[in-house]
Amino acid sequence: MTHELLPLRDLVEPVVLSTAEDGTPRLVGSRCRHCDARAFPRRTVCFGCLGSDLEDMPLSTSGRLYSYSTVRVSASREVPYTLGYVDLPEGPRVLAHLAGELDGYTVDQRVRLQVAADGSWAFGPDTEVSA
Amino acid sequence: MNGTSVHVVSAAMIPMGRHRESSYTGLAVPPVADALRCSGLAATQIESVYCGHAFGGMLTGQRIVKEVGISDIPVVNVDNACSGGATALYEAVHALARGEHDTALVVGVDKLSQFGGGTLPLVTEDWEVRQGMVMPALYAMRARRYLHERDATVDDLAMVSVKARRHGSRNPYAQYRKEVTVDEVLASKPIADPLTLLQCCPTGDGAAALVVVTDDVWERLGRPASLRVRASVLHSGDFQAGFRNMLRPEITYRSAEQAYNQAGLGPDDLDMVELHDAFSVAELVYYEALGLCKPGESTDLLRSGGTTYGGSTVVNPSGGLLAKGHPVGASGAAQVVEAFWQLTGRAGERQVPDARIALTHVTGGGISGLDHGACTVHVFERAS
Ligand SMILES: [Zn+2]
Repeated sequence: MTHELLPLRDLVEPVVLSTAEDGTPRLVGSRCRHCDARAFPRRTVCFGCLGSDLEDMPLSTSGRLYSYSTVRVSASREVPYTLGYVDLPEGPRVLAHLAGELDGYTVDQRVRLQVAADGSWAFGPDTEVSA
Repeated sequence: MNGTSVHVVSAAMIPMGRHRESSYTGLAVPPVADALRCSGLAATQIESVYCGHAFGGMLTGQRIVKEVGISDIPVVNVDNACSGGATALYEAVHALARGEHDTALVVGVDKLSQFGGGTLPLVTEDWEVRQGMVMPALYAMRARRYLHERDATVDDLAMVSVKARRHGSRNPYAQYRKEVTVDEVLASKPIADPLTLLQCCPTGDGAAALVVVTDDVWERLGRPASLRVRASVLHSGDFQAGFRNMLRPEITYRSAEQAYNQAGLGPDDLDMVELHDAFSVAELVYYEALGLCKPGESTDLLRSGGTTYGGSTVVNPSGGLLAKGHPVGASGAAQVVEAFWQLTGRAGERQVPDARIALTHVTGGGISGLDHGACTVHVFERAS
């Protein structure tokens, strides 16, 4: 072997947002050019084939809310906050914060990405599309 | 199971609770000493030790067994989150079945009171954990999906806790021994909607010990009342980056299927089950995954009383994780202690009449992309 093996630098906070040509921010995952395995957040090694021929995959800004919960006791951060699993059309399921009031959500509804000026992101009710 | 048949010849545990003045060694030595004494073996006749724990730090097993006259033999420490104690048993059973040893001591121990309280500290290298995932939130999302897909209400979720507390009220080893009502469960402190405090297992401390021997040793000991291990299964789950049906945890479905095949038994043969009811909804989902009812029928099974005394299979006679407690690495071994007492007729007020076949099931979770990272299922038959 002429090259040395280096560790993955996976503790560097991944870039999760990119900007589309029309200026709208999107989440970005990765897709394997070899086996088509898709993931969010983006990765450097494919979990399907162990290859490294991955491309960035911009993700749809609208998805389906599989389930959600408002967390009122947590070891990891200030409460309350609402988490949900959002299934995106490209395949990945994203664990996301949900914006606003818990009462605003129902299982299987459409939700849409919201990005704040400071780059923080969450999903909120999708007012553009009716489920 | 392939290989020599294996028996659990003794089992012991301490009452679960907050034992602030006890170390890991202090928690585990009493049940280890009691299990050794009841096994008919001397400490020097133990040939291997398997110690399951999640938060004990380095050399937990050695710190325990050096206090009871066990030395020089292999001591293996096992972390598999909530499946640690059951994984230790799995390792022991298969090592004995392969003929590597004739005897083993299995220990499950953990001390959650060291964290003060609140949710279990998960590994922050994980992406979802960094996003704020905690175990109650994962189960709460499963619960909300359950309420959406099944003909069930929050009263049904609360009924799981009511049953657990009723069973636990007859168990002197349970952390919570007070019965509760559906209204009390639903009015308790919200933790992660729709789950309330009384639908979440408590944090506490506990330790359990088992002595496991080959068939030959069991014969030499005079065939004492014991558990014959009919199945011992461990799975790690499938990674999924996308959709996952949270009501169909494939890791438990597959573990149960393999366990029934190994045992040559089915769910109808079970007299009792100790399953992983870390949160109320889990018990309902696992009725389906373990085949106690068809997928979609778990609410009806609970409502019918089929999983309590007088029903077809008593589920969690000990009170389960919800009432007995859940010191994570100890739980898998403590479930086997309950099975031992039940199948050898020593369960006192909570005895399941003429229990002959038992199944124990424990998972271990908390990382992205997996339903859970570990699932252990054992099936036992009374032998004497
Ligand atoms: Zn690939």
